[in-house]
Amino acid sequence: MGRKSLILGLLIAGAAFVALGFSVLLSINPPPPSPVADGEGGDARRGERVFIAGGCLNCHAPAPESAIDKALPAGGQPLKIPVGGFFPPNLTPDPQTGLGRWSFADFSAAMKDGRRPDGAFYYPAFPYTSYRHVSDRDLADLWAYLKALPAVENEVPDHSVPLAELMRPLIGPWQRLAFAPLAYPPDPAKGEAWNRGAYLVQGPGHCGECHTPRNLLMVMDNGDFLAGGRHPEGGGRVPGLRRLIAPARFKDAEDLGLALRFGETLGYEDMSSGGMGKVQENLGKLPEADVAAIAEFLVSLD
Amino acid sequence: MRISAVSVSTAAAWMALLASSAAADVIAQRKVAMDDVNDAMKIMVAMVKNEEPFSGKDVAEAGYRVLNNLTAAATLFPEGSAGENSRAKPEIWQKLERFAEGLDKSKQAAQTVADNGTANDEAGFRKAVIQLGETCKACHEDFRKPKKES
Repeated sequence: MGRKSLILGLLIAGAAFVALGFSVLLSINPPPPSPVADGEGGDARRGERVFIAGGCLNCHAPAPESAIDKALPAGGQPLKIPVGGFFPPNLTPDPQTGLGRWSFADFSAAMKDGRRPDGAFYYPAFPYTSYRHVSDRDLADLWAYLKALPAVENEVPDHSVPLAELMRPLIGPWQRLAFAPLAYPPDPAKGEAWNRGAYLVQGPGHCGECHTPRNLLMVMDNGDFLAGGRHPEGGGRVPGLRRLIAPARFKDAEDLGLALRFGETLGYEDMSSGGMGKVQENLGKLPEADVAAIAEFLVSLD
Repeated sequence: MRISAVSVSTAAAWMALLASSAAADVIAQRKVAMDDVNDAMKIMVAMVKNEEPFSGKDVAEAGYRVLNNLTAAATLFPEGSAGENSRAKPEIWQKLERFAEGLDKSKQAAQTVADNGTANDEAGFRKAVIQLGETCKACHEDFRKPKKES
């Protein structure tokens, strides 16, 4: 057999293998859509707290060079990952370029199932793997807050990630692997503060998205929740958040609470690199009781 | 003197070695400077948290310690001194004016802290040290990489 026909044969076999793999993966059904949350009676002021706890503005801010008010989630700021950049969309209620024509059911499906109104899947750069744990009430409040924002016309560019559209259908099967029950479900025996902290960390806070190790398929290993991992920017580690009470780390929950609320302004110098600065700023805007709850939950992790 | 290819490449190799060890030198120096700033901050933060009593003299000393280190640091970021071994992000040299501005703000804040210490002004000190911490944060957010080891 000639060398050329051997190479050709291998290429064809390789392509067939990839096609087979693709169709096997696609035959795995995505998880069924969640029931739509009850959207009635959302309170925009409570929704602002959810917006801050969720860190929405950290990704959905306008592009740095745009003239749009930086406090509005009008989108356009790139979210850089090693293969390219995502452009998180405009969350203001503009009918053309934002969420103006969305229903609450659309918003619920996005946050809980990572589904677009047209049924396609969102890339989990949008951390719905955590946001799916946000309570129905918080979702309704958050929606009320977003609807009350000024509508900003801002056309956000398409993602610049190679093969993004080709790979998008694979997200459904991926969700089957990635959607896991809470690592720390509600536990009445642990008291209100612990439970509030567990909810904030695992749901809107989505801390695990950076602080939990992921396997080769980029699925979080919730058995090792918040055990730390590689930094998404590359070069550097995201620290683990277990065993936080230790000589080189924090004295007690109060010490941790101060670190979360004030960060490096009070000398906690680990709280302002690798994106943590913006996270700490959001934490500083939350009610003190919420930060204390987060600290109480975190220090309980061994 | 005949300039051979060998001597040119040897000279180039020496210059590269000198440049890289010069770079390694500033990286080590600025780590020392920043570690010293951190130690000085710890002293002052302990007073803010009421873990140690306020002492104007100690505050002035710590404030000047921070100021001196920051003044030295301004000369420790030459072009080409980023690298694997450094937490300095390339953004520093892409936004050199902003970096220099940030460093200036920190120095002013450190001076204010020192002045409050000299004047034995505890209320002023408490405000000033928070403002100093904010200037640290502002630069570190944009210009410092996360730690390699947790």
